[in-house]
Amino acid sequence: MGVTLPDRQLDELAEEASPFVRLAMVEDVLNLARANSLWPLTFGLACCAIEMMAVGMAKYDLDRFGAAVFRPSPRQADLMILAGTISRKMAPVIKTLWDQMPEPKWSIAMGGCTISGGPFKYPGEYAISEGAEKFMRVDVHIPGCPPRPEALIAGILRLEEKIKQGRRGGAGEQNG
Amino acid sequence: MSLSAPDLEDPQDTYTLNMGPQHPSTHGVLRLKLTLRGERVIAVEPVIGYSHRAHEKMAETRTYAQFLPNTSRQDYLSGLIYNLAWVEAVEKLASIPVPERALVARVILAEFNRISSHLLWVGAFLADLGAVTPFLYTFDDREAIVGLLETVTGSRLTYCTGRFGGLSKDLDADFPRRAREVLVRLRARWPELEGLIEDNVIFRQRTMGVGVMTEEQCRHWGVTGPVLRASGVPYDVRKMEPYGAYPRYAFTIPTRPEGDVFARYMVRIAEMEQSCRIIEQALDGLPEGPILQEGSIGVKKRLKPPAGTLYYAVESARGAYGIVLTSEGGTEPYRAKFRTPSYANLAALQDMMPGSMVADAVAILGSLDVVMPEIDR
Amino acid sequence: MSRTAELAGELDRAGLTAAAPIEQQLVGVAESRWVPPEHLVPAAAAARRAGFFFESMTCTDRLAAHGALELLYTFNRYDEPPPPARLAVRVWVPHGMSVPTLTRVYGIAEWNEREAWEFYGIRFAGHPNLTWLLLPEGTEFHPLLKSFTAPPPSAFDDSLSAARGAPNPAVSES
Repeated sequence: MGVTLPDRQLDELAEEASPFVRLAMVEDVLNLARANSLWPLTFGLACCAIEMMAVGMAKYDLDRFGAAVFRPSPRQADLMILAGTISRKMAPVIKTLWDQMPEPKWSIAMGGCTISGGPFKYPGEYAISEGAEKFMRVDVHIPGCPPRPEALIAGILRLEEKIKQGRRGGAGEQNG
Repeated sequence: MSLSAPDLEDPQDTYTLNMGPQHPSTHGVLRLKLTLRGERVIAVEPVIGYSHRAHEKMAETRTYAQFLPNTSRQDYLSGLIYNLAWVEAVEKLASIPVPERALVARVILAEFNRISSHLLWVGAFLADLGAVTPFLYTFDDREAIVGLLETVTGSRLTYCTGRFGGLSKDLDADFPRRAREVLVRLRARWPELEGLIEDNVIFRQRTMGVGVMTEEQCRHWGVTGPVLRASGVPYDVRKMEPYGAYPRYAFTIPTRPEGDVFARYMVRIAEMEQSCRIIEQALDGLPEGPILQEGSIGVKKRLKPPAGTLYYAVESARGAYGIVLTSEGGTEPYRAKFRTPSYANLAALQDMMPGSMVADAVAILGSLDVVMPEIDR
Repeated sequence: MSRTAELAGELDRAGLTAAAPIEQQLVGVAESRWVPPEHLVPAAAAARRAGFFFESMTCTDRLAAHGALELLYTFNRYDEPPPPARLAVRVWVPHGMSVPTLTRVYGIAEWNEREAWEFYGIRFAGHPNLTWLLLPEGTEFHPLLKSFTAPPPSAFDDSLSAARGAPNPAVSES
């Protein structure tokens, strides 16, 4: 189109045209689309995976949030829900899978184990990684052991909010 | 493609395919190194340990009560059975009596847990084969059971309701009514599953004659549980080494002679009905009384069982679960070893899978019903 | 006479059993025998011939008190009604001694022995593949030994675990 309007006129135009037409930044529209159609990776590690499966089923129904298209290949997924304890043997595998996922991508640390090691953390532990953030970026943490399905849904909604705001990672990282 | 016996003298004809540890059908973090010739598997090497969480080391550095949360997390699908097994093993070692009501309540909870584990297996197994519908139905039934257990224990998946000398929370007065409602709902489901799954010609062709295990092979690997019973051996710890209130109840041990994947499916379906029978009898005979032995230490005091070693076995949804518990008179166990059924069942895969096609490999692995964290502990 | 008692008697008559090196009460088994490492394979083969299955193998660290590790094998039957048919075969392994492998007798022994090696350091002579099973490849410590309290620092743990080998604070009070 190539027509630029002063901001005031743009606001008036937007108000007149709504609710049939909405004007927004392209990035915002893209973020809206990304948030409302997250494709998680089928990736259960331990107990939390069962609650993740329950969320995908009929009673808790993740599909109504558009987020139940579980993809088995990381190259087709944009959300990694880390559900279960991360052992030291598994951590490099998870890092590889995370690296294989194309941008933009997000991750949810589901359950105490992925946040800080959960019930398996004790002085002198040798088997687990004390949280997923030891080796990758986590966008939303959901505490619980395991978190209830409602908690996972709340976490996914929180992630959707975050995506719509164009934010990533921890509180300190604000880049889109 | 020739279907003659594999010729192992020609290594150039083989191809190594890696399955997992991230794979939708490996049920947890399992890695299988398949050696293929064309579509046929000629060798399989399971690589495990991706779920190792040091339960046995933690048992040595925690008191008996502090270890309670770990117990459910070994096999989270039979979490209640494992939690109660630990409690019962310690009770036996320390000679702690258990009131009648608690013994019966434990049976009811354990059998509901067994049914919920088998229901999840049915859904996941059929999903592996490509049928997604049963997953939705069985998970819904599982939600009914899990909701019922939640009212008694407070947890949906990883239970910690056992206490040395009983249970932490009593069954409320309305529990028998709610439990019977769930039984009615489950029993209405069995004919539906039969029509949806068993009579399905694709299911039958994909499972009959696939992954056959003989009794002798089972003995070589130490296989127990539904996999063993599907090979015709009526071995069930609840009958062979009775514990708790099980001797009071009449139930049969379903077996099938074929030893294939279809037989394992049929055995688990029949077991769910037998569990319903046990629950009914237990509800009918639920005695009044305390749920926790008076003077029980609960979780607040340190228990010091006398020195000695105990082997305690129960029947989990996957097979014979054994706890080898050694006490040296201290507040923590000196050694706690967990003999988990999936360990032997998965090792037997090395005998079961060679000779089958890749598509059958998934069916065979699914039919074993393994839970990786209990193998890796 | 139960078949477990028959088998235990057979082991005694064949001279495969030995005296108990320590006093340790064992509950939950029908019969229990101590077997020196060199007689382990024939004893297991006798169990196999008699139709027992390999149920479990437990290793216990008794190095501090006795300078040895204890291996507890249990064999059981599929077809014996209660009381349980469990036979315990206990092996005393002085520090540094290796134990012959049972992989040619029972298939499941392969994994059990790998696990005992990676957690305790016991070597099994003749084992076809004595390498890590549960721990990451290249692990240089044997975690279940009582002398092992903490691994070397790594990127996977943080300052709490840096209190290496600190006793469980909840247990130190009485």
